[in-house]
Amino acid sequence: MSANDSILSCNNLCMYFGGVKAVDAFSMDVKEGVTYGIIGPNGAGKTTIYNVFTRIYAQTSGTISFCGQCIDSKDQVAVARMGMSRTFQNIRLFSGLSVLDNVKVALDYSGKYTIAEAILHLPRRQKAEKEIAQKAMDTLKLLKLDQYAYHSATSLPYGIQRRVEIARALVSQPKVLLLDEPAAGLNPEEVLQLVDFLKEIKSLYPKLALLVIEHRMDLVMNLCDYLYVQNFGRTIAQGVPAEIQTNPVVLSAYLGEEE
Amino acid sequence: MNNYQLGLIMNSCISVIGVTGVFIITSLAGMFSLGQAAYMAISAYITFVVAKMFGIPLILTAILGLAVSGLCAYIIAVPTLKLRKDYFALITMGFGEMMASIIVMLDKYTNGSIGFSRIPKVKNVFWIVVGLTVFVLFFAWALKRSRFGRMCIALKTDETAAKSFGVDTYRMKITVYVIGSVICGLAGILYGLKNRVITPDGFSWNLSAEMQIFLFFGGTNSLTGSALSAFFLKLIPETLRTVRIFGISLQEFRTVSYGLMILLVINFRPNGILGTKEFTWKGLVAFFRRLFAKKEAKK
Amino acid sequence: MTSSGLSSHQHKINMWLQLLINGICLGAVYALIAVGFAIVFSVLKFSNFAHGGMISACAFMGYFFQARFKTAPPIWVTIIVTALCGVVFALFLDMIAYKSIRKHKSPNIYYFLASLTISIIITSILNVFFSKNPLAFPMIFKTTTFSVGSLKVSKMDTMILVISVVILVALMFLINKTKIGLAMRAVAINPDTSKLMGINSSLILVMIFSIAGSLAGVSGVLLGCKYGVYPDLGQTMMVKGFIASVIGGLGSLGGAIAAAFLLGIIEMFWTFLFGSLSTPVMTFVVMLLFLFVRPQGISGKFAKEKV
Repeated sequence: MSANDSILSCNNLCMYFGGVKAVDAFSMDVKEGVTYGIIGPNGAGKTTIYNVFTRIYAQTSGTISFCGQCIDSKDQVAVARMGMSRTFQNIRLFSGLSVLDNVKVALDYSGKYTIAEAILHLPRRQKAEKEIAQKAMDTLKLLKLDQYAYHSATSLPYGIQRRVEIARALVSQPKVLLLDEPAAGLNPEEVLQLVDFLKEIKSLYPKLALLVIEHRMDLVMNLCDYLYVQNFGRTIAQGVPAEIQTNPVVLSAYLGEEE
Repeated sequence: MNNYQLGLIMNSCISVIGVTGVFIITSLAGMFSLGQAAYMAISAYITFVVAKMFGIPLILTAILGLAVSGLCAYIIAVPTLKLRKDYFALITMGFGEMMASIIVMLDKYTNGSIGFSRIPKVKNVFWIVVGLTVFVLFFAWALKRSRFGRMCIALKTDETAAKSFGVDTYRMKITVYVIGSVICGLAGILYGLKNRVITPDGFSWNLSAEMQIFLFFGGTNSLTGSALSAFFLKLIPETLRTVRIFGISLQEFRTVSYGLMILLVINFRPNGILGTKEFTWKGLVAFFRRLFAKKEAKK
Repeated sequence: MTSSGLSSHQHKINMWLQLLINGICLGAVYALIAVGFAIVFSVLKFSNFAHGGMISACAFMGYFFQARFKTAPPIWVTIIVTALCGVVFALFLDMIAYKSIRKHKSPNIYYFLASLTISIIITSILNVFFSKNPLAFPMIFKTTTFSVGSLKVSKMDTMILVISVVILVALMFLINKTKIGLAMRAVAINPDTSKLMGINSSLILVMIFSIAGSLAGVSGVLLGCKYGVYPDLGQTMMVKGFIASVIGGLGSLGGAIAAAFLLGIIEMFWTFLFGSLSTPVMTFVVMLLFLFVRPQGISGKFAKEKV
């Protein structure tokens, strides 16, 4: 594989908070259509990697490139508009909006009417609004969430909220989707449903590069094509799931040293 | 209706316009501004003072007044909205205080704290006020239901999440603040037209705070709720003017009772009377249906 | 010739010194207000607009307390009693306004609203009953000034300065050197973790409101002595306190104190040179410029919102 078909890559990425090395010399290469897992115990700096990718934090050192461009000096909004989408560990749906409106928000920055047209309620606004609504509804239907479209987003069960969050992240047809512990807070049954849901997404969006942060081995093994194992900010192993499963370094980090 | 009653309705309408401006800023975009009365003052003073000085028609100076309000809002917003929200409230409040003293400082033109009263009489003020109120409410309603409204509510609930969906929160907030301030400016001009005298005290911090209170009383995210509460909370105390307790007119207790109501609302109905619900005909019909259905069931 | 030139030179220096002293005294008052505001902000992370109303209310309490006696009690008695009243008052306000917000975990904007409402209620109640004639504390000193060399220093200002400095030093000691202060700082940084560490955070909140209340009490009496007692007293002065704490960096006590003194001195000089009418404009512009140049404030501790 050449370096050309990679969408997102980072090289020697470091993120320090004072003396804490949350991410230390992390390198990664993301290709389209592949699902990656970043695993590791709590505090291994997994979410920080996402926060640096999406430019919530500016890294201490290292470079990131996305779609062939260096994004080190870009901000959160610019990167999102380039096609990097994410979910959050603690679900962050917009509480004042319905499910449909939540999904629409992800399309809104590219809406085709000006604020003056909005205020005056001109025909162009109506047309563009219809388009947005159609797109959002299509995505909801595709992910079988359309029956919740007019519910208030935050009053739904946790498992559904997760899916709505994923739908919201997918509606703008991103190139990369970063999922942050999608199984957190779900009961075992919901976890199984989620795995099926994610597999379906993989088949529906074949070009999408998917990154999953998780600390549950079973889920990642089932879903991912390639794994990075993080511990205390450092990558301690990487490879295909079968390799990782038997890697002694990973086992000792996860299970503790055998006596 | 006699002139007095028309006057009361105009007062209430002006209050609705002002609160709608605040609604756009606070309820849509979650910015707590405490200086909105200052924009009312800016627009009103520029409109009437410039018109008097140069003999320009009011309609032109009104546009100038609104433009200056928007410009001031822009200047305040650019440095302030980069910081955390708390700065915004404090700085807008400081801005309001500053505006009051600027008006007094420029007493050569504004007649200082005595007030500027050389405001020409305009025909059909009542219909101008009512018409503009309807327009402004329509604008705000359309804005809320547009992509901009959605983006605002999104950034109000979770700014980081909104940014990660491509919402340029900083620019959005500046735009919304400017729009809201221009609407407040309009309220100021109408206030001047109606009362034919404007004083710096009339646009004090208390007015800014009063508008916030009206807004929250009606509902934290309900345009109809805030508009209704702005209308009636302005109207009711006026009608109680003659009622007296301990020899003090009930009207003087107006602000106190607003405050107490807000405390009750915060303690017992934390989202305001209407919460995030909008008041619609459909909802009203449904409500009465349910009411009657219950009565039927009881029988 | 030289002697008269020298004396005019001397005169000028004296005048600047005089302004500086007056500015420091003014700054001390601002510092008391700013700290009362900043201490609530540092822990609860909201702007306590009620502080202005509290100051007004305390000024009236102090006034009516000392008016009950035929011969006014010493000023320190009034101050202590008012400070205690302030504590009780602050805790009462916490109970009726902020408690339910904490319980519901409502968004921060409710704190704004609640504190604003409190401030409005207090000011308008006071306005209904006392707007007609401003009240004044009885004279404390027989003569108003004393001389240091050729400088004339107001006794009242000196008293205010001394009391303010003593209180500020005591407060800084409490916060930076004692266990309670450590607990307060911990709660300020992370209330949840501090709870896990065994800090009784509701006790800390009571402490914070007590301190804020007592500061409001002290500044109410001092301001009342200096400017007279009227309903909008606290409101007017509070803006200066806010501006000081914004310039100092929101939530930083040290920054607020430094900024308050700076503001007092600048204001004194500005008033002397350009008159008092434009002072509010000047302070506002100074604040806006400061935010442009150094948004993290004097303290450099930038109060960031959590991601």
